Amino acid sequence: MVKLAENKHYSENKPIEKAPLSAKVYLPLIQHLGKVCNPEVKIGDIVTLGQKIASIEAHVYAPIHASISGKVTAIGDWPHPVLGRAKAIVIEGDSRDEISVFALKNQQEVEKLAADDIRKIVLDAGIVGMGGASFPTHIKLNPPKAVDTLIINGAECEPYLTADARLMIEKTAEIFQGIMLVSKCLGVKEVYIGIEDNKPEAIKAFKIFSQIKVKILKSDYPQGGEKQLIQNILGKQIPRGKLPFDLGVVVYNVATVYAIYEAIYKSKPLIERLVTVTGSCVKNPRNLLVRLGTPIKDLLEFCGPLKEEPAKIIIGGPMMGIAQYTDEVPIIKSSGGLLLMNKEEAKILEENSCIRCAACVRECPVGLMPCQINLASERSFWNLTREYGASDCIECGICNYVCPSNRRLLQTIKRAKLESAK
Amino acid sequence: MKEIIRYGFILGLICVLAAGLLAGVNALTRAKIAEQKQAEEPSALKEIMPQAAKFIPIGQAPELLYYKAFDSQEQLIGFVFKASEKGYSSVIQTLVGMNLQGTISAIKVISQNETPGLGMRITENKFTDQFKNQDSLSLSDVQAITGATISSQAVMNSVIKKAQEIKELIENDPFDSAQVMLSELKESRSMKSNLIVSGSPHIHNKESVSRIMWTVVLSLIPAAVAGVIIFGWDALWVTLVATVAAVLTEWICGLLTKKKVTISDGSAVITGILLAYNLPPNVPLWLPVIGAVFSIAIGKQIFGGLGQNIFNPALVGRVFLMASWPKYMTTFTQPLRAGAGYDALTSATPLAILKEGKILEHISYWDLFLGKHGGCIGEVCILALLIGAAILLIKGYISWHIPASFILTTAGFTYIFAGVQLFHGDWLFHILSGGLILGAFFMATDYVATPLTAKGQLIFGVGCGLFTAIIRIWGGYPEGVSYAILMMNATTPFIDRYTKNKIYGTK
Repeated sequence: MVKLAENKHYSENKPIEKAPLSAKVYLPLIQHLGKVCNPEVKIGDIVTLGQKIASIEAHVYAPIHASISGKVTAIGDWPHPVLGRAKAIVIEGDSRDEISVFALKNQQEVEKLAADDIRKIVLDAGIVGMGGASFPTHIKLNPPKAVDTLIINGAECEPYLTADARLMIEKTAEIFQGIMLVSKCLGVKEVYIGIEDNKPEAIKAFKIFSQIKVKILKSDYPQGGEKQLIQNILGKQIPRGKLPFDLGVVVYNVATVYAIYEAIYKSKPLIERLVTVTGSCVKNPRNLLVRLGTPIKDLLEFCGPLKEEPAKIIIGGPMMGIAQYTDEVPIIKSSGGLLLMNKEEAKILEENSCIRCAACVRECPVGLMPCQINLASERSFWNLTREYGASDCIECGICNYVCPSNRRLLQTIKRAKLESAK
Repeated sequence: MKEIIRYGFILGLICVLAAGLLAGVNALTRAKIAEQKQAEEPSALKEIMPQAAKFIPIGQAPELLYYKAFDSQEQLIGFVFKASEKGYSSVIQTLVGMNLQGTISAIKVISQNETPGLGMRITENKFTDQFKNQDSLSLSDVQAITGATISSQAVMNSVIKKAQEIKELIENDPFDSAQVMLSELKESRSMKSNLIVSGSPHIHNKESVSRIMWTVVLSLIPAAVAGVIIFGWDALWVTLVATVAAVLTEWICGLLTKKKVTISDGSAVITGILLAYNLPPNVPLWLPVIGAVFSIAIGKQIFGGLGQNIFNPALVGRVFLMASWPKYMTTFTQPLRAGAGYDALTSATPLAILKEGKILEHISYWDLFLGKHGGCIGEVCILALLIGAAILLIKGYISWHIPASFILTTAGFTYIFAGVQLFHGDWLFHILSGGLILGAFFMATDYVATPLTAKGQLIFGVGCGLFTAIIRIWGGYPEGVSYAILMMNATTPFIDRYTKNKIYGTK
């Protein structure tokens, strides 16, 4: 693990704010791991806030909801932050923002809900893992084996990002109620929350709950990786090729738990999420509550004017985020950050020969030898990449980060992962 | 009876021949006919939508749904579809052009078999021209032909019905709204088109090969200073000549192999310095030149340059010189004495004295530590070397594994075997003399030719220590550090293969 320059100072003390509504939202039909949804609306249809507009008959999927009320003006290809381009439903807003359509439930009503009711609500709300993986949450609420430990991921180890930290500070009670719902649904005995030591306020906030054990983690990267989190909290490793379930463990991100809270208590589907808009070019870095489908140019305008023209726009953090080719791209369920880099920061470094310094070997959090996989991958020796365990890579990017020769280790390892799987 | 069979046979033969001929003609002309049909369509399409430059069929034949018409700027301008309905005596097929607003651009009856003189008049321009600019869903101003009402009505009905169908298809076709959306994307003025797109991660720890290499150069400077203090300016000249020769060789090799010239990364400088540090201070200056050329050209560039060499280049140069000019390589000057100035008195190294079986009485450990004895330029002053090593260890450019295991193994082995009896060896003397410290910290740690994992590095260090001690105790040479490192360099791929790190989640 590596200590990174955190750069969280830009936005860590900025309270959560609501981003203004966009004139149009672009909601991709795929914002999750699994099957692409089919549109359930036609061009010209009037949709209300929170209305289900796309779904599919499948096991692994999450439905999509209208994040503003208005009229469907188009259904077609549009820039997508992860896939480059994907089909999206476009809604032109009517600026009537009737969030009150959601019915509130009181504590007694919630307590009456059975585990299956909770799963059903979570599925209908379209909730996915919001730490970045976007795995549909209802599936994780129904583990194939009995689990006894719930880990809440509040590590937020990516530099720059502060959305989870703000959420933990400002929505502590809501997150706590969400955690209680999840632990009821799963029937777990123990609940941990892992928070990095650079978020003392969040740590303090959660220490008051007797039901939750707060684990203070060193602020190292990738502390928030599922494998690292389990190892550092429980002191055991997920056996190779197995899932956390097999250890009786389930891991949820704080933002996901918050979304579950909102779905259950407020009958609110996943129509917005917290996004950190940050970077040296941003004059007013913020933690914004953003409607899904909002084009990032609208967010930049809101946080602007920019101090300088960004040379690179990243959705996500600097280690695992994805560089975007246009500012028309919308925020989707997995977009936790919007990071702008200036020309200097975005400079592409020249790649040199590997000098076998072994920095990548020392720092790889899963014990791989990235430089060796890189050489084998460049020569298409897929048997060798398999032997070196390329498929165990968690794509954290540390190898590239420490490589003095600026080799594209992660990219070639990703390639090897694909080829090894064949 | 016989006759019947004969004629039957002949008849049959003729039948077979005829059938064969027919089949042959069909086969020969089928492609041509199909081609003709294909050719027919575009011209017909063009006729009813002359402003279009390109037609793209939507749906697969035989279930071709309609055509999209694009103008020369690739803009969608309309649709063409085929409508058909039973008329008076046949099925009438009409090709219809419809623009984006849903009005008809033109129609053409392409297939019918109506009553000549009556129903057939639907093909006349007088009838078809009426459709132009009509709303495809109402056709309110189209008049049926007198005496051919059924045929006319069939055409009109088929057009309206099909237009309705096509409109629905188009509205639900994401491709069309995609066209609209993409043009919206093109028009959008705020779109940033010059964004840098690259794979994650997007930050770097700012470490670079040249930074590491120049830090190593820096860490070698104390030893050079010590060399000059101990042996005089000769030590400096040898070092400079070796370094310049190494850099020049690197440059020339880069030009010759048409590869990127990498002299600025500092790696050739290190090779030159390390080679000089392994030479006696009083060698003629052509010797470091030859050694440096050999180090870089044969020890490094021949394998492909930086990162590819399997042996430490400086040591390759050194053993080459040792084998070729052993006399120069084993004649050492005495250190300068205070007030005595430079003289050309020669003296053997402590290890050589030991090898000859003489007893070292006048050299204290302290002298060994400070380097007040004969030896190679860069190896004698342990103090200076340790200062440099500390820099590299603190910066994290080298790890402790190789130096520690190397030195401890040499010490342990010499303690056991180098004495007059077992466990009486002078291990401290062996650590402080010869090139052990220089080798252990600066040459055995050369990234390129050493193992990657900590485990592998420990094995490598132990191997170096063993070979060094064995050569020193029982070998023909007084010193064995160079050979030990080179031998272990050769085993590096093998060590790497069997000392992989434990992968997360495995036992």
